This record gives sequence, structure tokens and C-alpha cells, in this order.
Amino acid sequence: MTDTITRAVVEPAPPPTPVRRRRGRVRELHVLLALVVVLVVVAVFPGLVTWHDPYELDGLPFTAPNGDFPFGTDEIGRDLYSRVVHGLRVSLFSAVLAVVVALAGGAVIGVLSGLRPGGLLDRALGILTEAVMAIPGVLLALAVITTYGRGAFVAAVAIGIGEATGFARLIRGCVIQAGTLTYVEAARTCGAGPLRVVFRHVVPSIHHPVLSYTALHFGLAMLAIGSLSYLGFGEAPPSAEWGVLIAGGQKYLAHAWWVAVVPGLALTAVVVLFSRIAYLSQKDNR
Amino acid sequence: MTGSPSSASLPARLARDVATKLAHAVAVVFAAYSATFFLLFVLPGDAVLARIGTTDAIGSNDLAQLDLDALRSEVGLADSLWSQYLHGVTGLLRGDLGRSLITEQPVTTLLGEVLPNTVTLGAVSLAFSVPLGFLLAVLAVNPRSKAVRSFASMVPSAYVSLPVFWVGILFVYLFSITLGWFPSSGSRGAASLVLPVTVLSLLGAAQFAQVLISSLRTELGTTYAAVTAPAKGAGRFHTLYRHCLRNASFPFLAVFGLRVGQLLGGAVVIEMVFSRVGLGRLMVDSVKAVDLTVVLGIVVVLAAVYVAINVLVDIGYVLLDPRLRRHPASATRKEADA
Repeated sequence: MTDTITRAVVEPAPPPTPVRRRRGRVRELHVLLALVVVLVVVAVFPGLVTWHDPYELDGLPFTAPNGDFPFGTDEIGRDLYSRVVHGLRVSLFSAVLAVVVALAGGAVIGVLSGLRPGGLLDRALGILTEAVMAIPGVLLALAVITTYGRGAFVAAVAIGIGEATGFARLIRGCVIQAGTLTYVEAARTCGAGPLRVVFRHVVPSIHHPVLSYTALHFGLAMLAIGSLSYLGFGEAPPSAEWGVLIAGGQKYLAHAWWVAVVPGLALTAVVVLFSRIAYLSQKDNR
Repeated sequence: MTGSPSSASLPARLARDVATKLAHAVAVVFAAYSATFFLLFVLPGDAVLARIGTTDAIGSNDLAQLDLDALRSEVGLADSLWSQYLHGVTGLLRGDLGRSLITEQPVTTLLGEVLPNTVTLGAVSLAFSVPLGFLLAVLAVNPRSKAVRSFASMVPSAYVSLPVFWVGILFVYLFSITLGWFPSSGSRGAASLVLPVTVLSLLGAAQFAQVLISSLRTELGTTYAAVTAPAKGAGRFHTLYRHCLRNASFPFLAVFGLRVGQLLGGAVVIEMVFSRVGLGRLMVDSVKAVDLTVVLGIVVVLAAVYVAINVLVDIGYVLLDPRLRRHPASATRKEADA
């Protein structure tokens, strides 16, 4: 006991973040968010930046990357650049769906179990969360797909269910922590009911960690959906979804490396973008 | 330990802790089984169609002539959901996971054939990823050069952003197609293990390093490391290795159990990339064939593995961290003993 008290007194306050570095971070965050907006626009209107049709045989098979075909062509001569750009829509929006499912499920479970920590409801939900956590995400998604059939959106919902557990744990912790804040106690003393306290005081106070966790898991959801479609349980092959493109290109690796490598680079770039946003927004908070 | 007043009560308390944890673990596995069961068996029609052929291959005309109910009762799908569930649970208690709906082989036999392959892959990758993770974390914290430190701390967060199946494909392209060092696929011999183990252990190492880096940074900022240790003349190296690394390993241990599940999921995908015989192939084939019992069996076995590892981690945590042994209850008993 005394140990912790002396430590708290002696511990030097962390040096304040230099204003210039913080400003640089905020600027970087804004640039990255602008990039996300660009990505969304491209995903909705892929025709704006491409000049070949993603499903037409416009070139010779396995043309190496050149001026007209910036990423080369695939095994039957479709423009890979155009396919990657058109594939962005499915990859991006299925990840959005996954994260929305995860956030909604996690918020409901997290708030319910955080209201009365240690209560019966909290314990039951805790065991349920842990049970879902015990099943690797990809396997849980495959089990869902067994019942409801393949498809990008089934895969997205399935991944979202698996990721909801992490959100539930985070939100439960935040709700418990927020319950000890002075203004929350004040609201309770003033006679606010538990629901009013949660929705008017607790939920607004925890949005920041939850948002940066969401950005991080957006990237992870893209990766997970990519692996499911790589395994053949997402979109069906004529589609230009990135996992499908990578799986299709694997067979021709020896002749044409770009067919499998370029979509993977695109996926990596988007995931890095989102995890960087998560990192910066987390830092910005402190 | 010997001679301290609390040592007498330690085994008893430990036994009670272990018993509580085991009961919790059994509850979690049971919940995982139930959740997956109801997820899979709520729509039983497809399983019967899959037994006849693929769902796409059957037109509605052919379907009308088949006696679906007879087929359902043949595999026990005609019973009510509850009786199927009770049947499954009693089987689970006896260690019987039922039979495949397609091939009629017992699920335990199917799993026994492929599990050694996957467990070898997972265990070897884990064995490599832990020291590699520590190495990366120390490199990200210890060197004086800021360039080296920031590079080493960037590597793990960059690697976890890569799609694991795509990294596998890149490795195949580099090391088996271009350089011809290792076989690109297959599951026979140690050479076929090299590439999948590399991909997976790098992934594990990156995840461990991320946790270790952040906890090492926290530890290095605390008073005992930033003030006390230099004040008594300990060097950077000594402070890091003798003081901080041990304390920083506890968050790592807590995360270790959680990451094992992700590593198993990654192993399933990687097995498909390298066309290895294993759990991944069995799972993908069973999902394609809508073989509900096999899917359920795989999920339950992996959940049990995950839960078992986490129980071991929890026990190891209590054994390694003296702070956790000092319950308030034991303190009062110590006073009573004195």
C-alpha cells in the first residue's frame, strides 16, 4: 500500500508532448483521412480512374505491366489495374459491414455486462464472449458459411460476429471505468436512471478509444475477408474481389508474378492506411 | 519459498484456483459447442441435399421424387433440435464427436489423421516466434541509434498488416520458384515445413513484439528503471535485461494465450496456401460438402485447445508473478500464524 503511494508521488509527470510533433501528427491524420475519402469515391465510381473494362479481354494474356496496362494483364487478358480498382468496392464495403456488425454486437454486449460488473448477466455474457473468442475467427466464419452459403456479405457478417468479442471486452472495460468518473457519479446522485447515465454520460465519454479500435479492426476485417475469399468462400471467381484475384494468380506465379502480387500490395496498402489512422488517433488522445 | 509462513497454504490455494479455472474452462468449451451446434443445425435441410450431391447439381424436379424425410432420419437429422443437441452433448462427454454426414467415418478418426500435421506446424512456429518476438522487442528498445530503434519497432506493425496467405505466396515465388531452395507444397519431410513455419512464426513474432515493445517502453519509464537503477550504477543493458524484461513479460504472457487462437486460424489458411494435409484442408472440404458434424468437431477441438492453453497460461501467470500470490486472505492468515 505505502509502496504504491510513494510511487505515485515520486513518479515524474510524463513530459508534455512537443506541440510541433503533435501538430504534425494531426496533419498526418488529416491527410490519411482525406486518402480514405478518395478511396471511398474510387470504390463507388471506379470508372473515374480506369480506362479498360474489368471483365473485357482487352489485351494479350500475361502482358507485363506497361503504360496502357499499369499492372499488366491476367491469364485471359483482362486489365489487372482496372480489376484491382473495381475490386476495391467489394473489399471496402464488406469490411464496413463486418465492422458495423462487430461494433453493434460488441456495444450491446459490452454495455449490458459493464452496467453491473460481476453480476449474473455479466458472467453469462462473459462465458459466451470467451466461447466465441476460443474459436479462431476464420473457423467461426467458415462455420457460419456452412449454414448460410458462400458470399462476400455472409463472410463479412461472420467475421463481424467473431470480432464483436474484442469490442465487447473493450467497451465493457470502458463502461466500468467511466462509471467511476466524477460527473457520472454526480449524474447518478442527481437521480438519473441507469439508462440515462449510460446513454447521456457513459457512451459519449468512451467513443474515442472505441473509434481508434474500430479503425484498427477495419484493417483486420479486410484481411480476414480476404483470406475467406482466397479460400473460395467469398465472392465467386469472375468477381474482382482482391482475395479472389490473389487466389486466381497463385496458379500462374511462375509465368506472371504480378497477377497475384499486385492485389496483395493493394490490400496491404489499405490495411496499413487504417492501422496508421488507428495509431495516430490513439496517440492524439493522450 | 521454504520457511515462509505462506508456503503451507500456497498449494491449497493453488489447487482451489486451478479447480475454479478448470470449471470455467469446461463451461467455455461447452458454450462454444452449444453456440456452434445451434448455428449449424438450425437449418438442417442443406445437409441432406449435400449428402445426395451438391446443392447446385439438384434441380427442383429431381428433388420432388426423393424422400427427404427418409434421408433425414437416416442420419439422425429428423429428430427435434433438442434431442439432437442432447445426443451430441452426451457424445461429447464420452469423447465421441459423431460420424461424418458424408463419408460416415467417425469425426475423431478424421481429426486424428490430420491433427498431428497441424499441431506440428503450430508448435514449431510458436517455438520460433517467441524468441524472435523478444529479439525484435529488445532491438526496438535497447540500441542507442534512434534509426535502428524506430526501424525495429516499425517492422512488427508492418508485418501484421500483410495478408498472411499473400506472404505465403510471395515466399513460394521467392524461395521455391525463383531460388528453388524449398518445395512449394506438400506435407512430407522437414523441408516442406520450412516455408509455412517461416510465414507463421514471423506473424507470431510480430504480434508478440508489438505487445512487448509497448510494455518494455512503459517499464523503462517507471521510477525503478529510469531513476533507481541508473542511480545505483546499472547500465542500460543491465537495467533492461535484469529489471525490465521480467516485468514486461507478464503482459506478454497474458497476450500469449489470446494469440495462440489467431495462430491456429492462420495455420488453417497457410495449410491451404502450401497444399498441406491438415486441419485446414479437412475444414475447407467439410464446409464445401456441408458436413455439419465434421465442422462442429473441428471447431470444438480447436476451442478446447485454445481454452486448455489459456488455463495453462493462467496457472503459469500465478506461479511466475509473486504479486498474484499475495491475496488479502493469505495476509490475514499470515498474521494469525505469526
